Amino acid sequence: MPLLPTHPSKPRSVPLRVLYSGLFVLLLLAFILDIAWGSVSIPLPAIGKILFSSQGNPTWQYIVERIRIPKACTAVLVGCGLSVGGLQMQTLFRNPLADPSVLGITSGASLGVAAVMLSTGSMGVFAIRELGISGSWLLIAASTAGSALVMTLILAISSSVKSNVMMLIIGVMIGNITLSVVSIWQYFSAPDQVKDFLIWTFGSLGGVNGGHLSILAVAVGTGLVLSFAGSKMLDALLLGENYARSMGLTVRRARLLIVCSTSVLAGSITTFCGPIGFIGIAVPFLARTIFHASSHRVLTPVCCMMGAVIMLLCDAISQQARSGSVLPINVITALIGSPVVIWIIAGRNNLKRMG
Amino acid sequence: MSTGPLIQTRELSIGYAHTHIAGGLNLQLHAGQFVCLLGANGSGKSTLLRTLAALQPSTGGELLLQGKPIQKIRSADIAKIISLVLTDRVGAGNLDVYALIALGRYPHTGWFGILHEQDKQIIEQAIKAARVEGLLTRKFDELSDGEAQKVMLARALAQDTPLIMLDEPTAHIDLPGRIQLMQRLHHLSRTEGKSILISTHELDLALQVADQIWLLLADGTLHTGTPEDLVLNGTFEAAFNREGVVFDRATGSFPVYSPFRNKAIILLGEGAPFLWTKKALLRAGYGVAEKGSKEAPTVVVYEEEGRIWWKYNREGKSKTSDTIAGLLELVHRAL
Repeated sequence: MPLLPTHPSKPRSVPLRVLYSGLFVLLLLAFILDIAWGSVSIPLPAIGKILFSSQGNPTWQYIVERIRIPKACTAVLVGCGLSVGGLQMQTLFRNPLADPSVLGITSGASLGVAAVMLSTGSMGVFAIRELGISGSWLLIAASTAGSALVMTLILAISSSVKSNVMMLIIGVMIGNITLSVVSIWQYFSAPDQVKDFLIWTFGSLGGVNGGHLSILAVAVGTGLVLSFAGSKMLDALLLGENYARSMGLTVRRARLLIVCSTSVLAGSITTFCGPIGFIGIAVPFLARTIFHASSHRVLTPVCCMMGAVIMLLCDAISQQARSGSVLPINVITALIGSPVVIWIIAGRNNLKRMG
Repeated sequence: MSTGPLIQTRELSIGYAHTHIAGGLNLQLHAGQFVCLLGANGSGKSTLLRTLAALQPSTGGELLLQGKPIQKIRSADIAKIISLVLTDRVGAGNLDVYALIALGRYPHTGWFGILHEQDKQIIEQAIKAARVEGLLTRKFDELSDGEAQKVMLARALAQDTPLIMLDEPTAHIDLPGRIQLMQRLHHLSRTEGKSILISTHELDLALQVADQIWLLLADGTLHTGTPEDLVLNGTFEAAFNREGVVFDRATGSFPVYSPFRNKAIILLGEGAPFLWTKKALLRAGYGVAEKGSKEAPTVVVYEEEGRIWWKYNREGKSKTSDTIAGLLELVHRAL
């Protein structure tokens, strides 16, 4: 029998199975914490009773089943989708500061929402508030149309652009154009309409119920499957486009798949929850650093679980506002995410890595 | 595998949409050959390599890989014939050295890139052949240029292709590192039968290791041949002789010095002391001859019982020195 290699075949010290199960336990705990911890205090045993036997105080039952569980599920979907989208963008553009919004899809959704919220007043047909902002199908249709518009544009460009860097610049520029259109619209709108729009930009995990939740789940699920299927391509792209091509990767096809899955993830999440920042930057970075992994076959599930845990925690924290109201989710993610971004920029090896 | 050339081109032209770089290229690269592609900066060496590796399309002519037109071969199959070491910077994604080398198996693994026992063995062999055993747990972006180059070679070896192309592999590496790399490549071509194609500026190293030299000139013409033939038939001289730059056919190098003092000195002596004295006089700007008129100044090098000394004769008078520095002073003062 030939001698086995004496060096460790991989420098990761934690076996994958331990890593995955540890993260999964964390995920369960965060899920339970998010359900148990809200602005109305419900004791843990009562929650257990509601979850497993559907009995108990009807108000509590309503809160748990109709509000908290859908919200926690939304948090899991958003955490998975944005983290994996960010991971893909960072690898594709070989830039640790890329996130799903760099393709301009998030701003596309904003454009759609702005079109509905800011123009309804001038059309004088109906007041958007009477429809209920978060639940409105009209809003969802508009924001889907907005992100689909930008996504189609990006995909069309993606197949004719040569380098990924150009793709990044074009994505950022399209985002800029879209946002300035939104700004012009805001400038000429009435103050209370602008306020409604601003509230949407704060992001919200609430109000994604029933039909909406299943649509979101299908979209995020599709995006995640596409992304996981492309994990070998993403690995090759770590070495840059030329090396990737020399190893047999068709770069344009790979880019199309990656852009497509990220668009589906970011587009659907922004449509239902508003533009949620920072998760897409912070989670992939944490996953790479903490678990010393580079293979996307490992990073994709790790990002999913870490993203879900962080999103659940952010949601749990956002419900702790004194006044009994709920802090917007974007405030919390930014509060946690910004220090991480600073860490990325000031971290010891990353100045070199990005230069 | 066919026994014909691995790569063959017929009237190939290279360049970009609006820039023609070189044309009419008829090249052949056979299994087990070590080919050095030489040429000045900007002569199109990288473009030629990239074209041959199918990273960019040719602008005309034919390019055959194992006898088949390259356009008809799927990129996944090209990746099983040609592996590359490029000058591109690789620096993202937290890659450690082992993971990077393992990526070389990319064209051979399945949909998810899972490594089987056989893949792992090939990776082990590549690691040994490139001598990177000590680097495996390091992060790739923390390596020195020389170490990084060795790791990229290991990755190319893990790709396990009959042909490896390296674009300027010796740039940014110190001299011992360059020689080691060339030795290793030469060894690979001799023992494993790998074909190696490198582009380089290092004429002296290329003359030592290459079976075949492709010399790409700035005007887009390409000369091929064994290095010795190219030296003897004057191709190198014609290619490199510019103002003040002369290819010395006797040594295969480019002397830096020119006899700017316009004075000739006759030098007599033997062995290493003679050669180094000649070098010193040339650097100081004198012409050096081994015979001449009796009136010409003469330097004689003596080596006796391990002691070296110099005698300088001019117009019947002679002086001696124990060092070359002293000798140069004598010559300067007299002339």
